[in-house]
Amino acid sequence: MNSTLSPLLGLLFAPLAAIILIIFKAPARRTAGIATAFNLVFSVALIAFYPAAQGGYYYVMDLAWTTLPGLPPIRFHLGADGISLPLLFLTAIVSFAAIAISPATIRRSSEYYCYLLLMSLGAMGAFMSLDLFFFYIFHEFALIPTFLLIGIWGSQNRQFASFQVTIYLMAGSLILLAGLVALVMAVPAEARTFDIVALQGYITNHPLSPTVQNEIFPIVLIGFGILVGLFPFHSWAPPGYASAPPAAAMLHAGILKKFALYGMIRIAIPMLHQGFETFLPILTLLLLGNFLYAGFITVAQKELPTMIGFSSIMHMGYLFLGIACWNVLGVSGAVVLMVGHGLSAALLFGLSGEITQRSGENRFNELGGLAQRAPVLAILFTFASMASMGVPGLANFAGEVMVFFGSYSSFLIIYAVAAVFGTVITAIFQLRAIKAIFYGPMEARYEPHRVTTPSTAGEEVIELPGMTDVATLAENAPYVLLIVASLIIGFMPFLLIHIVQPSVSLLPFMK
Amino acid sequence: MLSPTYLTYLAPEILLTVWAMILLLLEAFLSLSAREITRLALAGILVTAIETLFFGTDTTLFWGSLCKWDGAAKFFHLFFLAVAALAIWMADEVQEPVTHGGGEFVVLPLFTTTGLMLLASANDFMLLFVALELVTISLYILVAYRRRSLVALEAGVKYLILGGLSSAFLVMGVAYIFGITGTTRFDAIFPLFIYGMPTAVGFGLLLVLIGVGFKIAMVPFHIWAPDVYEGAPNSITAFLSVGSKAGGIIILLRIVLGVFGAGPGCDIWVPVLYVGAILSLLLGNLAAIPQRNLKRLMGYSSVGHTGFILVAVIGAAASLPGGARASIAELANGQTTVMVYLVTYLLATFTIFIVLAVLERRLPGLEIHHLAGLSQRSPLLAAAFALSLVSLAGVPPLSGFIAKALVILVAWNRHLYPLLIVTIFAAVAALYYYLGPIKAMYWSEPLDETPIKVNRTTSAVLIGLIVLLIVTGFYAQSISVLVGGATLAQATPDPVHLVSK
Repeated sequence: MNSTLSPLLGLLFAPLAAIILIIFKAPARRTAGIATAFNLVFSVALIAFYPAAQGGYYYVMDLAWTTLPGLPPIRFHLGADGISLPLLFLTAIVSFAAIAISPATIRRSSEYYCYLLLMSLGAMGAFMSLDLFFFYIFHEFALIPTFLLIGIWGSQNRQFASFQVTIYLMAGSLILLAGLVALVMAVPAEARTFDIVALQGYITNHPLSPTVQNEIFPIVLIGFGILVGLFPFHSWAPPGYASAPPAAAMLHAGILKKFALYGMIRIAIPMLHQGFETFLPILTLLLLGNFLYAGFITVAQKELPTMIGFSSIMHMGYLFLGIACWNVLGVSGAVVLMVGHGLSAALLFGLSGEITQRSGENRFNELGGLAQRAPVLAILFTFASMASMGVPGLANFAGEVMVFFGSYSSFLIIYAVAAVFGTVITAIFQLRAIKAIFYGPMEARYEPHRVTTPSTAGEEVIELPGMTDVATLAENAPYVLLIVASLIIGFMPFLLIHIVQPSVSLLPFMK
Repeated sequence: MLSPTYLTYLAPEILLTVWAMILLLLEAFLSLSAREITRLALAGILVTAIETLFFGTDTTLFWGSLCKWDGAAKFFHLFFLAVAALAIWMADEVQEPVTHGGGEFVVLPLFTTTGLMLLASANDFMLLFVALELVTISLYILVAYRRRSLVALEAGVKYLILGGLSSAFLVMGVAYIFGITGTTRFDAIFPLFIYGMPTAVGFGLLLVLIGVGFKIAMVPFHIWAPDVYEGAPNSITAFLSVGSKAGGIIILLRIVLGVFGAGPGCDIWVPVLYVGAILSLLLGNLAAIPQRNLKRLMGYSSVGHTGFILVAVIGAAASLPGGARASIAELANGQTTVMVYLVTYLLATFTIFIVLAVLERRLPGLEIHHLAGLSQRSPLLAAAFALSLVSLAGVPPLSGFIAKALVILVAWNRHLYPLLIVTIFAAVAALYYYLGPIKAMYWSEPLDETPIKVNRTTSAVLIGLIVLLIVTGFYAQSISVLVGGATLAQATPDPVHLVSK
């Protein structure tokens, strides 16, 4: 029991304070920006002061929270280790970028920024909670804001997409809840607790019987699988992300989906290891579906937003593969790749938003030659694509290489080969996208041009700017920030790895 | 000689009845306005509630063993008083005033509440029946109060006929049970059927369950709910939806746990409620999807919530067919879940009906599309409505989540796997129709942009309810203050507690 206040509370407090201020009519965009910028700086500081070499939980606070009759005790238990700190940093940087790319003139702006902050708050809380109850409910903070963000500010097929995403995720969450409840109730009554550390401690000493583990693990896997978009539970994601406003897609694909992978690392595999090993063949088969099935579908996409939606599903395969190895190299690689993928997915969703917004078009066969009009955008998009492809020098490469070697050194060689093949597929669709959008002949409508429309006073001439570039510093700074972060991790992966690895090696059953 | 506890625990009922009669006379002779009567009625409820708070939770039989005081009785007394206070306040402050008989419209709910409180502590089938009739007869009047409205009349007639039918089933069942056992006292019947039960008694129990099924709107006895919800004034719909349902639930708990809680009884009522729960979960939540009228939607949603509560009731069974006997802790677990569920249901339902009562006066109708753009016309109303819907759907961190999580916990703990699967399916289906009004309020552009002003008291009550919805969800300990110790007294009769004969 450690009742001193944890500095981690600061990460929760900043968005919460911003939401309250915005409700009381503070300027929404600026308040949200300040809060997320504070979180970004603060999360870097937290990483800097974390004693990386020894690993384990730091910045711990632990308060008794609820003892309801019939309910195992719930504790307000916060803490961060080398696995959660990088994810907290990722949350901070993607939240900041998401708010920075949001247009200042967006309608109903105070609501919009509140919902974004709520998503960010939920992700922060989930990654720092060491209690299953809070871990779960913080993640759910994002459910209704996502629904509203897609519904109010979305594009295309927003009505269908918002309902589909929300209901699918609710189903996943409830299945997960049943699994977590089953896990907590599987231990004898006197040891029952929602506290992850205490529960893990008990289970390490008194492993659950294999039958029980084999019952509970698939429930938890399906729950987490739906939330992360594991094949065949992925169909909610691409249309949802394609319709969501770019900032919401950045937050969801970049951060919130990592919640499920984090849950696999923190809860499902350590506590139900026997069940994990039983279901490993099935899990690997499913993640092959993510690589290949989702990969080929991505290649076939004719629209930019859906292509990026599918590609983010495809990349979940690598992350799952890294986790499935359950050796230090693979899991550390998965954590590094989570950060890398978070950055690249946020970049791609943000830039795809810029492209469709500025050109008014999202079909590849209608786009083309835009580099002439928007060179900066072309450079940024190329960088983002390179990150996503896993080109050396960017964060994804560091993670992917570790995952490949990790899976190679465990028995998953065939999957390592499939994963390498997956990067080829990624290269195909990303390069084709770059070519289709930015090179080749450009249609005349992307040049500045005039349109004459009949109006009451004769004919009216309207000047249209055509395609515009992300010209000002304010416009391209968020993307540059994400790229720089990816480059730093890409060139100096040891910065991240030496934080991640000691904590990963402390996980139970780690090979 | 009368023991001191002979009537002590009856004081809330006596106080409220006497006060209601005084109010009727005051209204007649001093021609007080409806608003003054409302204030006096609320004061009466407050005094009664304070008095109830002083009672402990020790098990005591009183009033010649007609009644039994225990943790559950105390909890439900306070619960019904809260429901009554909210409904009476709402009728006066928020809702379109009734065109005639304003005083009676305030006083009748007091009688209903007295009946409900008697139900909560009933220990005898005769008292139970009389109390139930007090509840339903006063509700017949209240439901059809707007007698010039055809919808209200339809609701009243339906409620009257089906209510009468359900009472008949109940009495018939009681007659069977009395015919075999020669007693109507709960604690006297319990020990007779620990090792076996005659078929006739089982049949009687079945009839009683059908009667109670009507009261709690359990499928297939739910037919009245959507029509009555639609036709009754909002405050009465809320009262029906929360108070009357909770009344049915406490009778159900008293009968299935207190009278037929032992093995042979469980073999009868568990399968019946099992089927009822599955049907209610499925039909209630699926039939709500095509509804366009918000009050009908709430009607079907209320049927669905009966299903969730029934899962917890089954979880409180001492023995499940094919399963091991439960420990006392597990019994209490199921009961606590019922109480927690009702608290969270009360908060969300009343918030919704207060909002609907405001909107009924300002919008052309209460269809979902009339809500269009409400978030811009009144952010408070929209937020209150949306949060309550989301809470009913069981999304954290709102209050309803705790209830849903406990239901899942109980279902898992008692190995009710088919029910668990149906529960999760129903909860997901429910989210779909709860999102419909949210979509209308937040996405759709308003047709009429005039802001809807809410007066200060209403805003304060709504904000209070929202805060409670969030606090009870995030800090579940706060509910435990209410439900701590709120369990039924153990069913086995203990001579020490038989203080009076």
